[in-house]
Amino acid sequence: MTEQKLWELIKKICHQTQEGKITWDATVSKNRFQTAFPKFTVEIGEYETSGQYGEESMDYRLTINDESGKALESISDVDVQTKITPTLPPGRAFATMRDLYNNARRRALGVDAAIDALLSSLEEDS
Amino acid sequence: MVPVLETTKQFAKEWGNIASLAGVLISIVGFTLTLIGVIKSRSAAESAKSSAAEVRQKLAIKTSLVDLTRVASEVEELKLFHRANVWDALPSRYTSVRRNLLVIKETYANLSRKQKTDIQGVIGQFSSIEQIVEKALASRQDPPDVPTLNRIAAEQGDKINAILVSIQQTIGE
Repeated sequence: MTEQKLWELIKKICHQTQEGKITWDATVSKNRFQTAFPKFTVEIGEYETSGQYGEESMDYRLTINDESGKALESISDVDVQTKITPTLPPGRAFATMRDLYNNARRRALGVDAAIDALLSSLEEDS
Repeated sequence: MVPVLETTKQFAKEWGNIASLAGVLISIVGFTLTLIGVIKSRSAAESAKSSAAEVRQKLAIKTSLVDLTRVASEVEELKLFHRANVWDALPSRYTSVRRNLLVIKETYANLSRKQKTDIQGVIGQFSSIEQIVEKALASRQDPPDVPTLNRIAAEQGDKINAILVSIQQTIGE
């Protein structure tokens, strides 16, 4: 039940990030981004892992921290796909969490704002 | 003898009626005065209660300003410690910043949801920094990427200062 709720939470955070309703911040680790709520913080991170045949691949992990900053729960896309919702179409958890990571990164680093400013600058020049 | 008795009886009856009427009137006036007194005292009590609440709120705002200013100074000190590579002394200081912020967040009801969220974000960032420094200390190395560490610490200081300014502005309202 908790696992199902976690997957619901990931989808909801992903959706609200796409809509720009959630603010993300960079952290000291360049591959981790954080968003805060009044009583919790949530981190999304990208980690290199070795695959079954030794090939390098990326995992995405979402961590929920309590008020003091202690990790309460941490879940990767592999956990979601294999343990929590095995009925999901293959790669769905990976794609969702990768999208969340990429959107969080863009929001935290202000990539969208930079692209908008560049486009506007190019339009003024032409 | 009988007419005297009749006259006396009539006289007593009239005065009895007048006395009853006066009694009723006095009761009504007395009740009204009592009611006015009760309303006045209740209004005074409510006014005093409201004034006390206002004083309490102003005091809470001023105390939150003092506490936030202290935390902002602690964060500034952290940056100096980072630059001076005094890593051993830092974990306890990160903990102190996090604890103080947690107390501020839980104590002051006047903080907005956004301010509480920002404070929680600062707590999360210092928790991440603390983990990195603790790992470095355990492996007897300096933490990697000190400039990033200081940039993130500076951003947290800016957030605390923004909350401070916002609270200061509410004092004048």
